[in-house]
Amino acid sequence: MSKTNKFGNVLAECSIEEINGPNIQIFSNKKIIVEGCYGLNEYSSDIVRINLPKGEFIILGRDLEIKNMEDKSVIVCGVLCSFEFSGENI
Amino acid sequence: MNVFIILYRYFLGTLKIKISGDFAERFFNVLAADRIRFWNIEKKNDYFYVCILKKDILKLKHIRRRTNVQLNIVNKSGFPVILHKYKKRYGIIIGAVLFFALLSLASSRIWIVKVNGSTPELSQRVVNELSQLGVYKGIKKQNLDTDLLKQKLLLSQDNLSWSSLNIQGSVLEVNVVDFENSKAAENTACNLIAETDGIIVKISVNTGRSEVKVGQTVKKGQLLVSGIKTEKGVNSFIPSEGQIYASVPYNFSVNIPKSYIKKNYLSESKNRYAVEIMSLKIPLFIGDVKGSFDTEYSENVLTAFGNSIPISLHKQKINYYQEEIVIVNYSNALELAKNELSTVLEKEKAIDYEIISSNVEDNKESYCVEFSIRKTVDIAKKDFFKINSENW
Repeated sequence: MSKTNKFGNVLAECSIEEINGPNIQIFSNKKIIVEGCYGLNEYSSDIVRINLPKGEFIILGRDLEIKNMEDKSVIVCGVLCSFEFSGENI
Repeated sequence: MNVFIILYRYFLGTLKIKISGDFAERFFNVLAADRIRFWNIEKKNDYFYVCILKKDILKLKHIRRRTNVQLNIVNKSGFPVILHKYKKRYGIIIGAVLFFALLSLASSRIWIVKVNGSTPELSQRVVNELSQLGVYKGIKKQNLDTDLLKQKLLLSQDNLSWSSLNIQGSVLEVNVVDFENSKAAENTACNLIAETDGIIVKISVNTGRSEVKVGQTVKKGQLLVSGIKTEKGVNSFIPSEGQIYASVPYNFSVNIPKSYIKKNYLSESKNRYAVEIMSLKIPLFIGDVKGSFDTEYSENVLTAFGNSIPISLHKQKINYYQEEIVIVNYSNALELAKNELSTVLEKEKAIDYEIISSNVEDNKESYCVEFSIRKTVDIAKKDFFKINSENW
């Protein structure tokens, strides 16, 4: 089975609730895009806490910088170390 | 980053603001919720720095109150900032307006009429004709109908065989060809024939075969140099070139008045200048010139990178003279008539002349001087072969 088909099947298996929920894309350990968020809870060069509909997404790293922020999306750049979710059924 | 985004931000102007307070994150959330664009968020020493568009600064006033943060503008950049800096520099604004007005004026008109003719005389005639047809420096390009002008030019000048008018920027380029040159271009092969009767004194043939000898008497229209070349039994036509000088009888008469005014030029002269900018002539002198004088005009057109621009300097040289009334007697009249004769012959390119007889008649107010001379002039005239190219 090819790689595309694999991902196609994964998406097909997702429920509508899962697709409509927050969408997070990570580019290496340098950039992260969080879509479907409700804004920032905390921001410093070491930690960024992003408010999600049913919880929180925490980014830990060094020299963190918010490159852009719009209504429901945030782009964070820097040296990303770890991610953490708080809350259930996010 | 996208170039368009950079340009968009530059033309709208950007502000870098410093945010201090405990609820900076909330401030960012509100900004994002109100769809106010911001970027380059940095945190340095408990202060946040963010860039926003200049137009959004008034919206921040209410958000600041709601989120309880302090805002300070730390840097301004972009085009509106530069514009604001020079807001009171009226000179720059007037200069810019004048620049664009002049640019618009200069590019919508014809400033140079360039005529490419085969001879300077033809070019001058075409320039004069064009000015009669309403083509002058500073005419609007939209008022020029080049096709109609071309037809009018061909109709007004009988000896023109072809013309074209092209507008290139602010230059009207006129290309003309006269009949003689077009004929010459079509068929250059010719004989040289005698223009008048005479006795050959000197022969100088560059191309062609001479059909006459020195001392021979020729009649008007007689073949002097043949343009038919025979080589190994094959005839070919060539353009004959050369000068055939002949001694030609010539009668010349001139009236010399018994008194005339002679101009004795003084060493004193004066220059007056005027600058012409786009048909507007600005004199650089004050007052009138008094006394007797002659003027010489000259015009220097300013050029930049090999192209003429519509700015020229006009120079008027004033040569002062004193008038002297000269009474002419019999011998003076003969001398003056001889001078007149030599001037006329010089114009005719005569290489030599011999006065055979002279007669001075005393009229009431002038002397009538008659000369009977033999002048040595080039009598060769080109006679083109009537070759039809279709027969070749």
